[in-house]
Amino acid sequence: MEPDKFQQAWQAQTSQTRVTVDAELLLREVQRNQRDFRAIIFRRDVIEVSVGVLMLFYWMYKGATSSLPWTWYLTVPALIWVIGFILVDRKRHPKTPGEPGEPLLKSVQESLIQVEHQIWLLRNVFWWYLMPFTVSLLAFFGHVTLLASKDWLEALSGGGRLFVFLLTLYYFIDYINQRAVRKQLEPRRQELLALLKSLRDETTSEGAIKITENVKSSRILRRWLIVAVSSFVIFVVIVLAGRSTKSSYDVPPRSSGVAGDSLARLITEQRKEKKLVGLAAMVMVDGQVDAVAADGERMQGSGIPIEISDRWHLGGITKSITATMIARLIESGRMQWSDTVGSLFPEDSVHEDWKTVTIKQLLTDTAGAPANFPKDVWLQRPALGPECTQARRKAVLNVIADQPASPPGKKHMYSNVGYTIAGAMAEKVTGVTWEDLVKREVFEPLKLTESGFGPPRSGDKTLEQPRGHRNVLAGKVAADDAADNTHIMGPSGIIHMTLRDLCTYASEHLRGELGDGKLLSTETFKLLHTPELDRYACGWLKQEPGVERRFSRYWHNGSNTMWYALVVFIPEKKMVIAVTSNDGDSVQAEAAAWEIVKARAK
Amino acid sequence: MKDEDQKSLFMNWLDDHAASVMKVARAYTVTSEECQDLAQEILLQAWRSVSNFKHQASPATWFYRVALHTAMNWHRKNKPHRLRQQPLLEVQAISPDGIDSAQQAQHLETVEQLYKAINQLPKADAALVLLYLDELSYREMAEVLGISESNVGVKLNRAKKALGDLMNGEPHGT
Repeated sequence: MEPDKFQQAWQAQTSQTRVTVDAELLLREVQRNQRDFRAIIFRRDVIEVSVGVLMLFYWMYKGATSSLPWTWYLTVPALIWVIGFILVDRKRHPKTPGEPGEPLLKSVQESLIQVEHQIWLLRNVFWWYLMPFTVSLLAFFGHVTLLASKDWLEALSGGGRLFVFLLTLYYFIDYINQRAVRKQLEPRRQELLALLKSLRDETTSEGAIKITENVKSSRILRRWLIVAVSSFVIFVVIVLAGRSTKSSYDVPPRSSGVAGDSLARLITEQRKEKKLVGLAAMVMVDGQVDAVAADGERMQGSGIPIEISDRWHLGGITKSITATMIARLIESGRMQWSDTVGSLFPEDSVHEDWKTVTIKQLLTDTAGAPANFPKDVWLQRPALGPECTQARRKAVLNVIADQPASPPGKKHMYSNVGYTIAGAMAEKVTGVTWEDLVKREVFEPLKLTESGFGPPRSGDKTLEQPRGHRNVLAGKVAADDAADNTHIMGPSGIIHMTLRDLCTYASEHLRGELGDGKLLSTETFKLLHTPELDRYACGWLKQEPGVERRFSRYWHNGSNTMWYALVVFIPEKKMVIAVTSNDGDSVQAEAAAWEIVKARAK
Repeated sequence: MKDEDQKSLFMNWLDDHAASVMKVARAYTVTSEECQDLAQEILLQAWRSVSNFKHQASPATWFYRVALHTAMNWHRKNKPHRLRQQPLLEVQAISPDGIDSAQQAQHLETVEQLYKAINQLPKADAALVLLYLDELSYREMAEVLGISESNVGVKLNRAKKALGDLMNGEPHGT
């Protein structure tokens, strides 16, 4: 059969059929189709860009309202770049369907151009979309890690996890894009190329179809190497910037009292020498302020000077306050020095070795209590009050369910846990929270009105009080005004005071030691100040007179790694010296504090 | 073009060219459901672009362009929401005078074989064969496809040969 016969059959069949179109249905479908089309265009062009713009605003708002490091803002240019890229790309390569009324050859060429552009976009999604975000977010994660890590091991551990998470996520996004190219777009491209080839003019060289070469994908390793190098460069910049930042702060120190000026010179010299953010000290003689001085900033870089009336976190100095509170309960008959862990916690779970441990052993760090709670307790953040009391009791019961770290009464071991157990025992006896007991038994009788619990509250902008500073890899970093040890271990270290309140409190112990205390009997004060096993008294350490000092000194210091405080009383001189710093570099702060004590207690 | 004018022009054209739409749809699909879907898509595309019709081509050429363009870009899986209640296009058989039923049956069988053969051809060859069967001139084919008339001649000869081979039961090679 010759092909013309096909035409005959075809035409005959055509004449024997009639195609009718349901016009109303077509119209309805056209309207629905146009709505769908508009919705697709809206989703693609408006929503994609709107999400980017909203993200941009969110990023800037979050940056302005939170205490985030400057690297947070690196994502802003990344977002602007991606939004701009999408807009320009949409403008230059509108993805609306080609005009169907064009000749087939032209429409196939246009389709091919669109598909090849889509392939180019997806193959290069790493460069225009993923890399800007990867680098900016890695820099931010790295910066946060540096600000939160004390050493390189911690930084590598914390930062490494974030790094791997982000790289995995972005690698996955890259992978699904490349997969879409392989599975969908490349076959379509080949199909169009074949179509184009079959329509190619075979009679002349004119009109030969120009087929663009496919874009080869970049090598994955090279891509991520570039990300790693970019991130590393930013890390180095962050570290160098953090370490080379020299404070332009040059405000004269605050001082008061007869010897205020000389103390001011001393603390200014020590602060600068030891590179501390802030340093303050007070010397009280026979209950009167002899000198008080403060130098440095409430927060590094803020330019706001610390004042002599500022409040300071006391860390372990809290222990002597807890011991004093318990001594008051004992003198009033609500507790006894011989009260044991077993008598106040009769639970079956309590380990046998703990049952005979006395309150006195706990307060003199001879109970065999471990130095610190396990990490899960540190991570708990109960608010002070009944919730904290309950959490504290639970933590204590967990500790005393196990054998003590060393045989009770045999060995001194500095312990935050021991004081927490003692605090929980006082709570159990009285039914009152530890902090309320401290207020009733110590703060109120001594009129310590500028004392409290946790770090002093201090807003980001207003900075009414100093902020503690962590000493980390990136340098000194201001902590927020809630950063502290868990309140569960409150009895061992979360009280804050002004220098005046701290000296007033220590003066009471000084007077007590001299037989003139108001809060407790002389006998009890003596007991509180007498070291057990020649090491540690109830929240006090004693330095005997010797070559370096003519008189006995009672002292204690403390630090929650963001603050440092030292208090010393010298009964023979009727002198109290308190030194405080809002700097967590406890080695330097301690050295400065003892220099000041040495100079003032000659 | 006003909406009413557009609607009126389009409906007039459909009377003459709906059959071409159906043929193209059938040539590029396998099942009757797919054929309906593609035909509907061609009509939607045609409606959308009728306002751009510049009268530089005849309505027949233009309809073929739209139909072939749509068929080449059409993917069954990308169109999941098509209206299903009733077909948009309906094919009715009519019996013209002067043709006996045996001849009708012969034509019908030949056309069925032609569709099967066209389905096996490369897409561009299928388009050429469709245009040839509908007796378009070389010039019209060149306008539809956007290639030169001489090129149409070369390609059509090859496509016709491939069609003939397929109709004679010989495998089609490239």
